[in-house]
Amino acid sequence: MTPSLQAAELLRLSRQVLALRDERMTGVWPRASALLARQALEGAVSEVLAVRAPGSERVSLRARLLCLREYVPDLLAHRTEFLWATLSRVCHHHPYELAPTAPEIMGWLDDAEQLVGDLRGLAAPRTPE
Amino acid sequence: MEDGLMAAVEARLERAELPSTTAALVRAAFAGENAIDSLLALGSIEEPVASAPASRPVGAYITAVEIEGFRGIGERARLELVPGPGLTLVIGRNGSGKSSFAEALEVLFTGDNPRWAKRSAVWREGWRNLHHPVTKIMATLAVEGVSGETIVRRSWLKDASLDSSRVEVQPHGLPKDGLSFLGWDEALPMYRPFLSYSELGSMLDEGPTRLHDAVATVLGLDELTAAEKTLRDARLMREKAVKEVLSIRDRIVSNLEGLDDDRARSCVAGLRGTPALDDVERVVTAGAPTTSQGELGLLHRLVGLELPDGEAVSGAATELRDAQQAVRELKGTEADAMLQSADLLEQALAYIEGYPTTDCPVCSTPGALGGDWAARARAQADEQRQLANLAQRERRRLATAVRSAHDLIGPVPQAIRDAGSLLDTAPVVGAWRPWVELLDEADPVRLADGIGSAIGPLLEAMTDLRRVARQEADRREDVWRPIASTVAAWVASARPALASAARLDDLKKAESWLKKAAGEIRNDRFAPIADEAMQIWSLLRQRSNVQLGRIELKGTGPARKVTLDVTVDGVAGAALGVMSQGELHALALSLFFPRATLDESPFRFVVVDDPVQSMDPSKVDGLARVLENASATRQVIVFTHDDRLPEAVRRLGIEARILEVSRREGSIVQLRPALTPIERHIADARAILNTDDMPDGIARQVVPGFCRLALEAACIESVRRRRLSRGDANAEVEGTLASLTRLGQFAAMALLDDPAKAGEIAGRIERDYGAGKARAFRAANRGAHEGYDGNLEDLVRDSAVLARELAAA
Repeated sequence: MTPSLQAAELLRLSRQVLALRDERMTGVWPRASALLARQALEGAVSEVLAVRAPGSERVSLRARLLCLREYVPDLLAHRTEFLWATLSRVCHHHPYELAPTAPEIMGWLDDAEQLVGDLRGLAAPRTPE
Repeated sequence: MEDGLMAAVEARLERAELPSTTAALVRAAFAGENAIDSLLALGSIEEPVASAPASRPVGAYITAVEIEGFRGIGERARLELVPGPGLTLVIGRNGSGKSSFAEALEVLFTGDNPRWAKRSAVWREGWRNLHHPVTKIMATLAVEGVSGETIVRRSWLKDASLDSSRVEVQPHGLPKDGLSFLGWDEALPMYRPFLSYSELGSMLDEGPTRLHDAVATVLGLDELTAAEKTLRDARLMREKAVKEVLSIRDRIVSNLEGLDDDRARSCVAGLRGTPALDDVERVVTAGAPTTSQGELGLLHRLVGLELPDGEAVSGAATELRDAQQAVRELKGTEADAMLQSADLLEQALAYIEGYPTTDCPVCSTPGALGGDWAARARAQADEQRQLANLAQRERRRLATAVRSAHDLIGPVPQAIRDAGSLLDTAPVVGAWRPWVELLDEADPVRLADGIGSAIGPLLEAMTDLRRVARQEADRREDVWRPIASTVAAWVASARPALASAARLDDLKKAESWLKKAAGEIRNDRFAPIADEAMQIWSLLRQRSNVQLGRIELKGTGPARKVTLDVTVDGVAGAALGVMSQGELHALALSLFFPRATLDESPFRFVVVDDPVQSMDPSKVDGLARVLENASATRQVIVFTHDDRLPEAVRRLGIEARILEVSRREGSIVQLRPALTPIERHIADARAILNTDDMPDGIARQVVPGFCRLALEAACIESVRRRRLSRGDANAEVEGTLASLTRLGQFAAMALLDDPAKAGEIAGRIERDYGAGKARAFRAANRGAHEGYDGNLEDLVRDSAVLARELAAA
């Protein structure tokens, strides 16, 4: 399936959540931002694989991430996996862990932005050699 | 002076039946050094001036803390608390600003504190928040006996250093005051209600002496320690004074021994052994000697020797010569013959007068007596008689002259004979010898020559002797006088020192008695704290193999320490070194709480920063219980960096208020009540749905993720409760939970006790909880990645119900 929102849009939303000053959002924003950032990363991964490995969208996200290194440069694949795992820790409930702090999320968003850009650059249809 | 302490000392004094001096010294020690001095000097103590009664510290709870521009907090952040006993947990990740609250509270009440000085330069530079121009710390207190709120405010001007703040206390309806209004100055170091993570570590690291001081302060036994020190100092001071006096004495003695002076010798005799100060003083304060005794007396006798009279001697010599000359001129004058001849002539004249005749009656020569014979005989008799008289007189004169000359010659004076060992007397004795020998000279001329030639050298030798004797006497005075004044000065200073040295035994007795009594009092006082510490340890240790036995305060002075009877795996006497960091922290907590929660402490609150770090899960349960116990009488405020303590508190059903701190960009620190994790995530999901200006699309993307978080939290709660209640080891349970990564695994673990059965779980939920909830389960799981197009309100509602049901499963 195609992502319902573009990765770039998700990242923009993530930053918006971070900037929200609504009282009701007190304490909610860290995880909300992280969820959006992770979705953006997953979207970018799916996008690049849809082009490079048609049919991969049918397998699980975890499997898609594992085969990512076959289609993109190693370093990019590693960094993507690592950031995804980091964001996943926040998006799952782990015993005793508290919501991340703003600087942590800012850092992840910056990383995500760069990785999403790099991945989508590789998602352009390959020109025949 | 604390009444209870003095009473304890008095009670022991009465039982001890000490000599009255010793008891008096012990009492004096509490009144200070001067009291001991005057007791020893005058035999009585001046009543110590009673210090003004310190204002009684007020008891207070904290109702709110408000901080601006301090450490991690920029914009004003407010922590609302409930005044009164109870437990408040403030949770926030490291860097969220929670420790800033704990530190701000301590800075507020203590100002610049030596403790801060120990902090790193980074801390000292960074105490001010860079995102905010103003630094203010404010706490609202509920003070016992003061209606309404009392506000304590500390503020710093821009660029002011940490130690130059302004602090004011504003009690409700009363004029502004300073910190003294609270009267906490003394209580703060004693019951310090603040404990930070770094202190937890250092409390035991800094060694048993530091720990002793921290604990001893709270026992309120500072006066006892001070009194012990006063006695010790009094003794040391006197011992030192005596030692000094005796070492100066030794120097003086060795100086005196180099002196050729009787006074020096008698001083040395008086100084040896126990100095006979009065005797020595008499010797050194006397002026020049008045007696003729001793060497100096002899010298003075020599100086005073009379010289032979030179003029008399030369007169005598002249007389001798004149008399001799006169006698010599009368040579041939037979004085007796002349006198008899005169007698004969006078008898002949008397005869011819009676019997006139001219014939000689003796030789019968006729006419021999005629003519002018009678006149001639008369004249001849007279002349003969005159000559005879003259010759007799001259002879007598000569004899007198000889006697007079001999009279001028005396024997060698005794002083000169005595002075042989003191001065070189050979020249003078040599001059005396020919002089004295003249006593045997009878010949007037030789005598006259003798005395004339001997007198010159004798006078010279005698004059020399007198000069030398005077010089020697002066020299001795010059050497003596400064030494005598040194000795006199020494006597003056030695007198009090030696007099008080006589009291050293009394001081030593008082000192050793007080030392023993202090040890007993200290441990009596410490016993309840030690007991409570052991109870707390037994709660905290849980499965630890470390057992804590007696805790005792031992020793005084540099040897003071806290001894902990630690047993590891049944082996006694183990060092603290074998304990883990977590165990050391637990031990530090065990010692902190009893002292911070003493009845006497005016602080109705206790602030603990991050006690959980490096504690294993079972100790966290123990800690929760310890906090619960403390919160029965105290407002316990605990800052913690993760959810372990709140989880234990919730699971153990401990009543607590839990707040969560989060820190946004620009050091904006926010606080909100922490719900249980399930309710937290559900509330977060609802907050996103209900926030009016939420950008489009966010809710659809994010709400399923929060629903999934809620479901996972529910599964974790279920697993933990079931397994811990069936007796599984805490660490094992946490290990299992930490290995799970996906919702399906969490749910399979919760419902089927086997994470491998994740695939079966959706069907299981559909069967046991209904199709609606199974739909929510799937939507939450998938939507966390992709967003959800369905009805978000329904999703949140169904997820919430399912989460609660799973948690109870």
